[in-house]
Amino acid sequence: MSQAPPAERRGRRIGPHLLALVLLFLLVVGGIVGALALGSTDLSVGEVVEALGNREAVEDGGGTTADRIVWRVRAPRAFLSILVGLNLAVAGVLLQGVMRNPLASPGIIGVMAGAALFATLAMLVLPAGGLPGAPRELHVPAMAFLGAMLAAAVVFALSWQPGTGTSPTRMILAGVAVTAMVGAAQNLLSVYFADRIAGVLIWLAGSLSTRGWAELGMIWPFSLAGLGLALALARPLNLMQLGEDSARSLGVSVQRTRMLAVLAAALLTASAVCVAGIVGFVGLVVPHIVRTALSPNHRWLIPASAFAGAALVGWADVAARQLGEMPVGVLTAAIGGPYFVYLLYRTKLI
Amino acid sequence: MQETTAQPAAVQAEALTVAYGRQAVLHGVDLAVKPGSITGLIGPNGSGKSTLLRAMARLIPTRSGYTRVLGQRTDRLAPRKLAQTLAVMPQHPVAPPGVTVRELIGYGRSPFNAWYKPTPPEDHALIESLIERCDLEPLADRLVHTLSGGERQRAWIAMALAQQPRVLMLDEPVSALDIGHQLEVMDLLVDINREQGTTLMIVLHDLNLAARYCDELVAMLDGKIVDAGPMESVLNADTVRQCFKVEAQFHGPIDGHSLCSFSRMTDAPFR
Repeated sequence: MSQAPPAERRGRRIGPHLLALVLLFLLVVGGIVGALALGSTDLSVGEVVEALGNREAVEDGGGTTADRIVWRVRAPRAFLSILVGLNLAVAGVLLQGVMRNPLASPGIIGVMAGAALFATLAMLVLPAGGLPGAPRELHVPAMAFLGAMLAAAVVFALSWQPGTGTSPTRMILAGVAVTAMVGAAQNLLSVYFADRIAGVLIWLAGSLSTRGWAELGMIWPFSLAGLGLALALARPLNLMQLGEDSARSLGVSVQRTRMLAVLAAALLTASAVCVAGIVGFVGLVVPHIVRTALSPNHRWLIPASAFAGAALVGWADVAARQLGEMPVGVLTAAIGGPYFVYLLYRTKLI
Repeated sequence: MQETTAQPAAVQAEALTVAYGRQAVLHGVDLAVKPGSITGLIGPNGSGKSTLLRAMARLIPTRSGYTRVLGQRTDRLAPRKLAQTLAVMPQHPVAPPGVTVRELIGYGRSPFNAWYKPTPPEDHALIESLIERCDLEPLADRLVHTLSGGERQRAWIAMALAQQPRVLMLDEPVSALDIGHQLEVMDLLVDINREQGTTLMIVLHDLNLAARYCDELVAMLDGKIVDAGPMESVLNADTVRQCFKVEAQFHGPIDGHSLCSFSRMTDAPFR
């Protein structure tokens, strides 16, 4: 054979992808630094670095104002924002891949609606004492997580047919039905408790305001599990893009892949929305941008979307704070909405 | 076809019943495909030939009965193990965006390699040799969704061959192609069968192609096998009349192959 050796060919393809990953990672790191430095009190990078070294002082109740701002307020929020972005973007990749539907997003399996309903229940109906065993500040997130996972389980169960299992169409339709029913319950609660609805509305708009280490401690194990599962599913997801028959004939367990992908997406989405509320469009738009700009190969698509989503929500939260604590979900939807219209226009889906 | 030798069948169906919902589309089918043969499945639309192929490849669940590949029950094999002996080219392969021909062929190696390991060098050599074998050299770095029909079929056949299968099943591989590309793809398949002894099971609509290329034929009607055996014994006017409700006239052999032409039976009801 007179062709170029395979190693050279592979090198040509891997180079730009790796570079893009590194750049996206730097964007995430930049977002963290920005989140630590910028806010109602702007700190210099030097002050941030100095404050980062004073963790013990803050834990002992001391430290300067800058130390306390960095450690108590900004650091947990910075990490939460990038984790929320990462989770939603990867969940979007998983669902778009497994449904083979470009319009799939984390909301499609009912998790968003389920989280919203249970968070509302926690805020309006359940006694203020909280869940047994959960710290007070985790009352709402724990309920929201439970609601999200429950909704995903119901959607999956409703779409299941004995013998054949699930299909993307059945899952999407079951998701629509569950979202509608849960939404009705949500509206009912809003009407009954109209006098106390303000807190719920703020939660639904998606915000990271006042979130701290407790929330981060609650969601990181689920995020890690979801991300690990997603990376392990990269190859079957690639093969699923050839259609169900081809994937099966290449040894993919189609039903198992679907189940695991939905499980991972549910874990990721649930752990994002339970602390941040409804942060829209990240899970829909980020996978699209990365797929067209970088690669449809899930081995690149998953890590690159993770970084891109993290950078987007990380920087959006910095901007949200600059704009007087605007809900970050409003901001991501404001960025994502127009881009999505552009995407629809360009791919001639409408 | 009745197995007279002790040689085990390449693929086998035993009392195979398949149903979509409550409607059975295969009724207790028994079939043994000779190893190393080119076996054609013929029959009218809806006769169950595609369903039989898909069930024998375990692409669809069966209601009852078994299928075997090289003597082993497929329901006891892990999907990956099955994919190491049996490859399938589906009727409507989906061309995903952003995948090159070389990458697509590489997908054929996935049943053999763990996902977290890099592709071994011998696999790269195999992929390059298949690109050459299937005349895909100028297309190797093209995206599969930009290929024409005949090119796409060759790329998919190359991917299936990357599985180095003992049995290759193809569901109407040439139905959407013009006559030139039909012969090109069929010649490629015959060469592979002769060179590597790969058993081929092919759903065909064109009885002249079946006559020209198949060693064995399985004629189907209404979810049952009407006749199975050597091509010459199955392809006759009676079987064609029973399956397709047409009269067949056989000419030839011309150029080493017999040819058939058809006329509609005047008293046949519209199906």
